[in-house]
Amino acid sequence: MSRSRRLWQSLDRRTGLGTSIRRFAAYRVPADTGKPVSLGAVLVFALLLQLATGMLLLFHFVPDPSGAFESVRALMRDVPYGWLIRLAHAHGASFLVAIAFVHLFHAAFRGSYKDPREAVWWSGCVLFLAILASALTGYILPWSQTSFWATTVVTASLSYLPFVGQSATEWVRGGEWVGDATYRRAFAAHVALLPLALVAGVAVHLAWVRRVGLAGRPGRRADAEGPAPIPVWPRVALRAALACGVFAMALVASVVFAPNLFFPVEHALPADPFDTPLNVKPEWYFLWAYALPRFMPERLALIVQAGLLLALFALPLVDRSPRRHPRDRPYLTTVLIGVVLAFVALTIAGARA
Amino acid sequence: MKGWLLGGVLLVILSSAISAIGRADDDTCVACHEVDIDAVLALPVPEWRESVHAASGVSCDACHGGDPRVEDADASMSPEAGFMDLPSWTEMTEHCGACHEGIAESYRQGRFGAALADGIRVATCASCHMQEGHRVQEAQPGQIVTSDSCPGCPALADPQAAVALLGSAREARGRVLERLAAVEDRGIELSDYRARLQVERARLARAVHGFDDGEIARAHAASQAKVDEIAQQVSAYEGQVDRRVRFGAALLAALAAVCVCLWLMLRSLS
Repeated sequence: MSRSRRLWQSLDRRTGLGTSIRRFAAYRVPADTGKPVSLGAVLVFALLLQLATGMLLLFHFVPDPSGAFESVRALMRDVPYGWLIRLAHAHGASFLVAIAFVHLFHAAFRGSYKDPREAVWWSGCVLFLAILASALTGYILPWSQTSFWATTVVTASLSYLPFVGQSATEWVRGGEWVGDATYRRAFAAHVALLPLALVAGVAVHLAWVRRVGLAGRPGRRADAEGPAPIPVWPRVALRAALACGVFAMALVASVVFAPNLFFPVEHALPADPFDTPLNVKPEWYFLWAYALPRFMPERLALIVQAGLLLALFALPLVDRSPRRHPRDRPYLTTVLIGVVLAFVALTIAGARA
Repeated sequence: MKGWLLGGVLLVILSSAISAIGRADDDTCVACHEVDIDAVLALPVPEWRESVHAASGVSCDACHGGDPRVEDADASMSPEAGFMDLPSWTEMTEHCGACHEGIAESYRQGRFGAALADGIRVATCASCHMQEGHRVQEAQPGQIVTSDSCPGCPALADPQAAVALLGSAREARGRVLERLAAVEDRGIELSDYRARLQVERARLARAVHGFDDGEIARAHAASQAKVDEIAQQVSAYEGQVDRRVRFGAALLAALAAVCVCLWLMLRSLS
C-alpha cells in the first residue's frame, strides 16, 4: 500500500472524511438535477468566493469613514492583485444576488415549496434576505458618494413606517444622520453577523434538502414519477462543477473587461455629506424598490414591499395542492410571471428615472 | 388563457409606466420659460441647455435667484424668494464670484479689477463668457482675445502670446484627461489625478484673470511641469491596465479549458 493511501486511510479512520465523501457521492437525487444549470451549487460556490475574497480584503481595508475610501483606492491601485480580489468581491455580490433571484423564482415556478419541502423554502427565503442585507451593508463600506447617499435614501425610506418610522430610521443610522455610527453598524453586520447567518443558514438549508430530497422536474400529474434517481457522483457532480466553471468565467470576464459594470460614476468619488449627487440610486437589485414610490405614495410603496415579503413566505401555505407543474397552477403561475415582469419593468424604470 | 391575458395587460401597463417616469424633471423656471411665455423670454432655455452650467447642474436660480420649486410665477420670482433678475455690470464680478471665488479675486487684484473699482467701464465676466448668451462655455482664449474683440489691449503686452500659452496648456491637460479617462474605464480610479489637473487649470485661470504677462508665463511653466508629472504617473497605470488584461485573458483561457474538460467528461458518461 502506498504511503499516500496509508495516510488517507489513517485520516479517514480518525475523521470519517472519506466515509462522508463516499456517502455524499452515493446520495441519490432526481436524474435531471443540474439540468440545465445547477443553481444551488453555483450559489454555494459564489457564497464561498464572497467569504474568501471578503476575508482577503480585510487584510488591507480600513473599516472607518476617514480611511475606507483611501484604502479601497490603494487596494485597486497599489496592492498586488488587490484589484482582482476587490472587484471579484464587488461583482460577485451582484452575481450572487442575480443567481439567488433566479434560484428563488425557479423553485417557485417548479412548486418546490410544497409538502414536504416547506421548511426548505422558508430557509431559502431567509437566506435570500440575508444575501440582500449583505449586499446592502457591503455597498456602504467603501464610503464613496454612492455609498453615502444611497444609504441616506434607503434608511430614510424607513421613516415612512407607521408609528415607528422616525425611531426605526434613527436606530438603523445610529443617530439622526448617516455617519460614523451607521458605518460601524454596517461593518459589524457585513463582516460578522451576516456571514455567520449565511453559513449557518446554508448548512440548515442543505441539511433539510438532504432530509426531504430534491424536488426534481414536476410532471403533469401529481403522482407522475420521473426517471429513476441517480447518485450524485459522477453525473450530477460534474454538471455542478461545469456550472461553477461557467460562473467563474463570467465573473472573471466582467471583472477584467467591464470593471465599472456595476458602479456609477459617483462610486469613484469619496463621500461628501455636503455635495448631493444629481442621481442618487441604489444598486440594480434595489432599483425596483427605488422606482415603486414613483407610482404610489411612499407609505403605500413600503406596504407593497412588506406585502411581497410576506407573500414569499406564505407561498407554501397558500398553494397547498400537490400539483407542481406550472400549467397545473395557471393563476399562481400568472402571478409569478407578473411579479417577474414587474421586477424587470420597475428595475428599468428605476435605472431611467 | 385568462392567465396569459392578465399577464399581457400587466406588461402593457408596466411598459407605459416605465416610459412615463423615464422623463427628466425640470425646475419651474425652465418649465415656464420654455413653453409658456413669449419667444424672447424663452430664448435663454435652449442656450442654457447647451451650457457648461447645465452640464454641471447649475440652473437659473443660481445666478438669478428665486425659488424654482414654486409653480406660481409671481411667488417664485418675488424678492422674498431671493429673485434678483439681472446684475448690473458693476456687480457682475461679485455676482459670478459667489461661485467662482478664486477667479473673481484675481480679477479684482488685476488691472481690470482696479479700473472697475475706479468706475471705468471695462470688460467683466459676461463680456467674454456670455458672447453667445446663456450658452456659457469654458472660455476659448483664441476666440475671446482677437484683434477685433481686444484691439490694442491695454492690459497685456502680447495678447496673442498669452493666448498661445493658454491653448497649449489646455491641449496638454486635455491629452492627459483623455488617457486618464481610458484608465478609469478599465477600473483604476484616478479622481485624485483629475482633481490635481483641475488645480493646475485653476492656477492658470487665476493668473489669466489678473491680466499680467509675466504672471501668466510663470503660472504656465509651473502648471506644465505638474501636468507632465501627472502624465508620467498615468503612464504607469496604463501599463498596469495592460498587465491586468493579459492576466485576465490567461485566467479565462484556463477556466475555459477546465470547462471543456468537464463537458467532455459529462459527454463520455452518456
